[in-house]
Amino acid sequence: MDDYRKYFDPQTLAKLTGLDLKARLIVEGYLTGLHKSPYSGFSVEFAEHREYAPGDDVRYVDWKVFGKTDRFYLKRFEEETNFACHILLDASESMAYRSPGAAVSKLEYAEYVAAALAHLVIRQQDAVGFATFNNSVTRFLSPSSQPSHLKQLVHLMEQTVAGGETALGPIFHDLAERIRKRGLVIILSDLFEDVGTLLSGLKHFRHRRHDVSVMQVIDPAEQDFPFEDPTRFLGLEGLPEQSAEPRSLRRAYQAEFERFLRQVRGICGDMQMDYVLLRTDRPLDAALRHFLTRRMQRAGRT
Amino acid sequence: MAEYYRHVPSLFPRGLLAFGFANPWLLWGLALGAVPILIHLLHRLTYRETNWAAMRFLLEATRKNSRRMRLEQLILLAVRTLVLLFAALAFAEPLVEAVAPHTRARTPIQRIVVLDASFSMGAKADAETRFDRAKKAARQIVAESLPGDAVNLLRIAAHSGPVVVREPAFEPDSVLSEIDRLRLTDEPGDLGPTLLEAAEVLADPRAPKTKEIIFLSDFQRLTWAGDSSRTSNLHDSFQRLADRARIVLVDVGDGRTENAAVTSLQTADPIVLPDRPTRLRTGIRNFGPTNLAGVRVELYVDGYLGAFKSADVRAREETVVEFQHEFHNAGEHIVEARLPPDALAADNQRWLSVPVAERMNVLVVNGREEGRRAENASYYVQTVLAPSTAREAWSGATRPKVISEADLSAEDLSQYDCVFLCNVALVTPTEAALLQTYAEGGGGIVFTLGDRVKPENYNSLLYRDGQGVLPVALGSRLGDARDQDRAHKGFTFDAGDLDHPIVAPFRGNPNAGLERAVTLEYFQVKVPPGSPARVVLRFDSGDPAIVERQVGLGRSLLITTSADVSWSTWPVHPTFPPIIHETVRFAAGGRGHERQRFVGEPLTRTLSSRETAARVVVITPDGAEHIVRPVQNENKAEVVFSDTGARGIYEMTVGPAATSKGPLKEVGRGGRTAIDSNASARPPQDGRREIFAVNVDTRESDLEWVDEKTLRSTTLAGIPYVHRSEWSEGQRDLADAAAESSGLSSWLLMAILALLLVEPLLAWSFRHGFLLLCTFAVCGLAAPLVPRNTWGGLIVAVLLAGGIVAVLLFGRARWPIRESSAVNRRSAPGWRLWPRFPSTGNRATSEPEPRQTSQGRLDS
Repeated sequence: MDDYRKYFDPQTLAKLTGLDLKARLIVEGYLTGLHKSPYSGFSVEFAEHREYAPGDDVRYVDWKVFGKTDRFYLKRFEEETNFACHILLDASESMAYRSPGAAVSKLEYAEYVAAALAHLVIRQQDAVGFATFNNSVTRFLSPSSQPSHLKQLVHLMEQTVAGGETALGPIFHDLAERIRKRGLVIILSDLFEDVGTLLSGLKHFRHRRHDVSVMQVIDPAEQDFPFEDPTRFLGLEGLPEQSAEPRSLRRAYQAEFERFLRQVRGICGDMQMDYVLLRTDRPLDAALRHFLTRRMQRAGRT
Repeated sequence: MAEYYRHVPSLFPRGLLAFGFANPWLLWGLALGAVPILIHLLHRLTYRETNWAAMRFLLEATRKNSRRMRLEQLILLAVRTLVLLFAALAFAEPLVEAVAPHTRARTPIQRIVVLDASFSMGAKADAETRFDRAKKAARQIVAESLPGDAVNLLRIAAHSGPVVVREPAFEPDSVLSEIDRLRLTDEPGDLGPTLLEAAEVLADPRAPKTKEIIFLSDFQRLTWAGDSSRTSNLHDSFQRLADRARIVLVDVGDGRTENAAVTSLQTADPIVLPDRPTRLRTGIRNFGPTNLAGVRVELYVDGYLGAFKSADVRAREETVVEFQHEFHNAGEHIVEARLPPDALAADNQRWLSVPVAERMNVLVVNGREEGRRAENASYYVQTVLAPSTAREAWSGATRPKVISEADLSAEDLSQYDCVFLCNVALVTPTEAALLQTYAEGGGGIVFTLGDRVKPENYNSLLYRDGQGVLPVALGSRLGDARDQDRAHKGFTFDAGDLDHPIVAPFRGNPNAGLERAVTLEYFQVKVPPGSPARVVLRFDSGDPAIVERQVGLGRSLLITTSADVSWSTWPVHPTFPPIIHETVRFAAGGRGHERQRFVGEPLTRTLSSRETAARVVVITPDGAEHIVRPVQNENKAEVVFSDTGARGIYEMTVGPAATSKGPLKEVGRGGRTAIDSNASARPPQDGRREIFAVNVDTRESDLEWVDEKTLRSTTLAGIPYVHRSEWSEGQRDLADAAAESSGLSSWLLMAILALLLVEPLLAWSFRHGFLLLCTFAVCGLAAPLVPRNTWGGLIVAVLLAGGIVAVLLFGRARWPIRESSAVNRRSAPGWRLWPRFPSTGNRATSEPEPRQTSQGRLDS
């Protein structure tokens, strides 16, 4: 296994300190991997770069990329790729959950993903904005493409503490109002919310003609329900507790959970929103790959 | 009714008579059944705790499944509790006394089958004897026993050992072969030893706890009732048995009592000589209720029909039939009396061993030797026994030999039929011992007295306070023979009391002249009260003149006066010769009795000093030859042969010492023999051959039986028992209130095993567990219908295993545990035998990459 891949592992990342470092390692590792992999699924070319063809203006060659890849790419101007990416991070109490089988909590995992994505976006000289919320928007950063903005973003994330209830519906409404410009909205949440309110919230984004990418972060235990012994489950976010014999309940619980996931998927599919399920025990490159693939497609479309 | 019960499975006993526990004090174990409940409750208090974000789904799932989950929990709890409850119950060994005849899971029984093998069981009613019927019933009992039952076999016979199968036999085949081998004996029945052995067999710890004794007998009065002391002994024995076992009496008799038997056969004369008409008397008894007329009684001598007579015998009476026969040869002869065949053949014949002496050897000991022959003390006796005229020498059968007193100890007395002592002054201890041995062995001694007799010597050595050979102690002399004045007129014999056989011929003959023989002097003797001595003849003074007493097998007589004319004129009186002859014959008559024996009595013969190293061979009625080793007892050697179970003629040959050193299977002390059929067991050719007749004890011929009422009030008073007229399948019908008790223990243990298998399966996957539970329940209910053999059990086991495997395989396919993520499958899809445990390890590195479509949908 190559070195770079280990930084996709949340468990390894958890041992490191500094979100910024982690994000960089993820991104650079990913990029290196892209270069090294003979079977990379899509072209090395980013939307932000265009491969040099004879006759192009040499002024726009990105020498950094040449230094790394020995290939000539022309930079696109900011206007060409002028888009803003809003990363919305759910910091409600439910996101603080970490099962014994996972290395990091959902919030932490989401933060890794958010930081890595922010790195990528800034790298492409696009603007990235950030917001955390629980039952209200706790922090909001307007998009900016400055590298210092990235620092601020990372710092903000590091300071975020999970707490409070989830209220996705009203939040999305609120955020949809705040994000004026049409852009890419990435939602990092477990989406543990009534599906109806979720739907209406997402609809608002669509109404605003935002490009929404839903990344649902869940803990493996929430999907697998691996408990054996009789357990008292203490509900977060004000939900009651429940003592149960997990073995006998497992099938029924999983049915309920899958039903929920299906519903969410269905909603996203209906609204042509991008959706990916992230488990906190999975390598992070999945999230990145997904994101970049979408970007490619988008770029192809525009 | 009985037929119905045979086929109904035992699920629902028709009448639950009682429910009990063999070990009720173990029921405290039921409290253990509360333990799982307690654990369950306690468990609820000690749950793990965890925060849980996806609570809404959990709540929803719980809400939807609460009822189902509670039911599952209850069933699991019930299974756990049942395991402990059943275990506690099983330890308490519950017994259900129900009238369900063929309860499969009943406790094993130890059955003691007692067969009456006395010869009355040989009575034939139709085609089969009672013994055959008893054997058939015994076979049926053994064949009916279920696996786990044990059988012992005993028999009722007076002399043969009661125990046939001592160790509880769990294999019926071995007992069946023993039953087939059982033979009817010629012995009478004796319940006492059999009951004692039965009590011992009952106590065997290897046998099952429930016990039953079954008596197969004809319930003859002789064996089962009798005098009060015997009945009370039997009653005590039965009481001890009834405390531990159920008593079943099966009457295999036929209720008939007609039987005629030859009860006695003997010679009228004490000694048989050749060419003399010998009277043979045979007693015929009619044990039946009807008079018999014209019964043909046959007399066989040495195998040939000698004579026959027709007799009438009234019901329950005896008649004596007399035959006369002349034996032409001396030696051993066999006389047999035979009746025509009737219901019981064993007692229709009787044998008699008749040793015909060639001559009668009499030893006459002369106590006073004088120059003139006529003045010898023995002169008159000798003359009477062997009279010779001047022209003709005596050639009769009686051969007296006269010796002097000094030569007595040198004589071998065993060759003499009678020893006559005439005026012998005293005896030495050696001579006294010789005479004692001789008399006890069957010899006859006649003491006659005179002036030389020393009474102190006689009393101390020969009378020995009644232990010796002298019939009575000698008192003082009365009268005086030397009195020339004849002041006293003398004593005469008293002709009044003439009952004794010796003087019986004089009865009714008043002119025989007994009272004219005058005796001048005699020794006074007195027969002590309680003494077995008998007075043959008295003097008119009242004192005994002739006294006789049985000494061992022989006889001893005392004539209190002299046998010569010194003290009495009797020797020259005409009554002298016949009385002397009769006396000698009477004395010698003791020798024949040891030849007649009853079945079971040992044959004994004392060996003379010449014969101590002899080789003794006995031939039994079946032709087998047995070697018997003589046994040394004090100062004599004797031969004892005890194997006299068969009636008939036994031949004993006493020959010279064994010369061949063949493989002899000999006997130790006690005289029991081993059969050795080699050539070396041939009786010695030049030995003395003696015939013994062994006959049945005809008390057993009385077929009178005790009915149940009498039994209930005498021998079995107060003792619970069951009386049957035959042993059949219906022996477990409703009327039998003392029904069997069936044990539920084995069923309970099986149930426990099943539950223990089901419980973990239920806890892991309820569906599988419940299916298994249902399978077991069905099997348990269907078990009585399954044929009880190994093949059936095997088929059921295979089906069960197949069912379990099928459930596991297809159950998984139908109700898979849904995995929403493909990465969670470790192995082939759809199969997992063990639950997946929550892993805390690094899973990311070993998982295959998830497949994602372009739309971001997940594959599942």
